[in-house]
Amino acid sequence: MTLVQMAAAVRNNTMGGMDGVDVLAFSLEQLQDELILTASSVIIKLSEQGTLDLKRLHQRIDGIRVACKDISSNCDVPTNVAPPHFTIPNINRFADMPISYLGSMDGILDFKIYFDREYRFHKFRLATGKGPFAWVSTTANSDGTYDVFLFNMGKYNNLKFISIEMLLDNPYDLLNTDYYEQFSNAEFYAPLIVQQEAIDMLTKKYVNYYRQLKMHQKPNVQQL
Amino acid sequence: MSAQRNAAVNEHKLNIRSGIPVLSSKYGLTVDEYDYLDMAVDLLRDISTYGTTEYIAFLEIDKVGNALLPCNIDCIDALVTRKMGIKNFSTRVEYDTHTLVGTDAYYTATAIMESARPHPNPIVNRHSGTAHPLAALDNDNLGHGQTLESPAYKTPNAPRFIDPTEQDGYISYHLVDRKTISVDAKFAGSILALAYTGISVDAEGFPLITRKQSNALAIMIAKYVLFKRSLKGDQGAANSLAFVTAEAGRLIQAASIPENITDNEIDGLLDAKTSFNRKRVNRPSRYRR
Repeated sequence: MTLVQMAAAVRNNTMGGMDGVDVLAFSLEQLQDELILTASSVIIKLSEQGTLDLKRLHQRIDGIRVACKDISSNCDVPTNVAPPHFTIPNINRFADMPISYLGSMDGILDFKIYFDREYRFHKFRLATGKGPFAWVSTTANSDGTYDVFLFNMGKYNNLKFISIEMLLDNPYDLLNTDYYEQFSNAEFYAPLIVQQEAIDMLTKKYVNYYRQLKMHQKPNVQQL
Repeated sequence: MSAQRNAAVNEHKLNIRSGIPVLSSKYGLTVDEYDYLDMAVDLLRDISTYGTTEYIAFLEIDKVGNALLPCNIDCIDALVTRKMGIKNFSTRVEYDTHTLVGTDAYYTATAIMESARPHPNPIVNRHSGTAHPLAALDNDNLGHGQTLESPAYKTPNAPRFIDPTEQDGYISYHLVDRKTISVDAKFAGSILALAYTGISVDAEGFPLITRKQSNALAIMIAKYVLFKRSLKGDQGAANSLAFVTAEAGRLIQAASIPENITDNEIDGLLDAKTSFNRKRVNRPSRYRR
């Protein structure tokens, strides 16, 4: 199903469940956003149960352009350290390995990925201290994307394009990037079981909420 | 005799990463490649059976007569002139010192692939005015090419001095430390050939391992992965940790036993009962011919 079809299913189910109680108006756009939120929690839940391998949901983007940028996020206080850099949409940081691959498109050169300041100790690694590594920033830029800086590239500083496979928090964010052509919204990004769970959870939430809100107060008939 | 010698050749043929697919297929676990490499190199020092290979390396002698040794060196067989090295030790495996510099640091694909390009500043022999022999390599993408003598060497009209490195002969040396060799200062700026026996390594400098070591590495790393999960409260991981730990011990023991035990090795075992220095029997870096 597409995201719009899923939103329509939630709306129809909710309208059916609330039939005779109230007449409600739903925004399909809001339902789509809520479906993405719900799907994210469903995926994590299924993963913890061991029924879903998160790596199977990773999205690949090829040909990301790399350009040097000052590592400081404050334009007024530059560090004069400008490693190769690119930006990505937010990743699902709940997953153990939200980025399964970051490297050259042919798969030969790959990077160790750090999501925190632990990258400072990379050089002390026993066998791979001289290997290239990447640091994914934890703070969003003004456009909602996140910085990725590449280090230890040696003469590969001239690398122009890069490939990445990652579990995105919201895969539809890709539509806001330069690489939107590589993302297809013809089908929801998660398998049918996730779609089913997301629709069910959202429908139940709406029906329960609205039924409770519309529940009529019964008169107190207790006798003292 | 040759059959026995062939059987005695070490079984270290697999890349150190061969434990990663074992980890996935046997235990259904995945691990970051960099984490795996760090743990595997660390663990191999405990498992401690390395393969040995007869290498030849072309060393660049600096201006004071020193040169860095390859990081996998075990024992030096001979230090000879470049010409003699090419002629007499051509059957040996060439160790490319341009990608694997003489330190304990292991290099990664970055450094290896870098050598696929022509050397930006080829070292020129100051006596003969000719380029470093490695500059004439017909490199493949791993930096390993066939050693071809540069046509410049064969130019009869090139200015010639009596270059000691152009002669045949052995060269005396002494070790400055475990990583540096020192020769007479007259060889400064020249290329000398070092024939040595060293730990078998792949193109990236990681030691080659055996099938049993691959299995042992996989289960040891599975143990670490499960241990991490159990610390986070994964009860299933904690339950299986005991089994994996016991199995890891068995597989590490198995990894220290070669698949084919030759007569020479049985002799070595029998000698161990009566020899004074019994700890040296089956020493990991034992020089095998």
